[in-house]
Amino acid sequence: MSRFWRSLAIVGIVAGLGSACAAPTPAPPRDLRVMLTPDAGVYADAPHVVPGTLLEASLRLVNPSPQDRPVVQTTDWIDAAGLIIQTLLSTPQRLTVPRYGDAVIRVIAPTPAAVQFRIRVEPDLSAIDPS
Amino acid sequence: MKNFSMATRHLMIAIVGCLPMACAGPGIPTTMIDPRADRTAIGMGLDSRDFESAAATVVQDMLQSGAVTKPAGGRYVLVISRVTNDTMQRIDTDQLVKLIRVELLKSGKVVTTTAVGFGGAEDPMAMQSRDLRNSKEFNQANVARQGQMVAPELSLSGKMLQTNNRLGDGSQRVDYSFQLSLTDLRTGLALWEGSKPISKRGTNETVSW
Repeated sequence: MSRFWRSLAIVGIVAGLGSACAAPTPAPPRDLRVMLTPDAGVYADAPHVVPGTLLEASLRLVNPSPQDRPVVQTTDWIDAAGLIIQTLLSTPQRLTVPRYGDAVIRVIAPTPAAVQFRIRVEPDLSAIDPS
Repeated sequence: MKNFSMATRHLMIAIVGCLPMACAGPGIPTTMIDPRADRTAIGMGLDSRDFESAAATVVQDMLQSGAVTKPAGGRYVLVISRVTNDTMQRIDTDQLVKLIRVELLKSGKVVTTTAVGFGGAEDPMAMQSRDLRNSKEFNQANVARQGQMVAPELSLSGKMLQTNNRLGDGSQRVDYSFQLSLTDLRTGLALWEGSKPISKRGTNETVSW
């Protein structure tokens, strides 16, 4: 009997270790218009959209870590046909989300033809501290 | 060297000549840079990323402010006035201004005139083609009539500034500022004004000119 309980204990320990080592289930996507790369180190609220002649949106990025997070945000604008509009306003923009703080991204559509947007936030790999 | 044969001397000279190449590192291969995935290091000077960032910020601000939205609809006619480069670098201000003009044109709110400009017309052909009115060689049906050119309503002017400072930790800081104004030519009033700062910090060994 003691051998049975010992085997059961070993199986339970192995099962527990396996579940602890398994990859965490990814969080369900909250908003397809916002894409944060896994190494961005920030999270985002749902975008606030203001319809109008030119679509406007704002997005708040939050940094829960003790380090400043330099990031690059790129906004793609999409027309009614689903095609990406080539525009200067899609130029990657650098900003830093301060430690334990937030930063707001505010974007405006380049033309009235833009009916949808997609914001991508990734770490700014060219931000190297010279010290 | 006197006692060596000619062949030996030539061989020694060739070896000495090849030494620098042998000691040199592999070097950085030439690659294309994708602006949307630009991972290159940042320099203390201004590069295309800075101009694009500044122009995008300026245009976004103009559009958000409503200054380029004509109350009665339609498009404003813009002329490019004096944009001064007050930095230590050799910059063609068109690197900034052209980006702004193109984006404003795409927005459908502003169109730029090339028939007049600060220091002369950007495209003198608009006026030169009027000389064809006197030529019997040309079909006058195609020649522009008097009074067809549209005068500008808005003027874009500004300057680029640079300030260098050495910091207490031995590094240096460079502050650039892109300052622009949009003036209503009828009233002389600035309908929109904006400034985009770009600050960089680097070692004292780098230069920003």
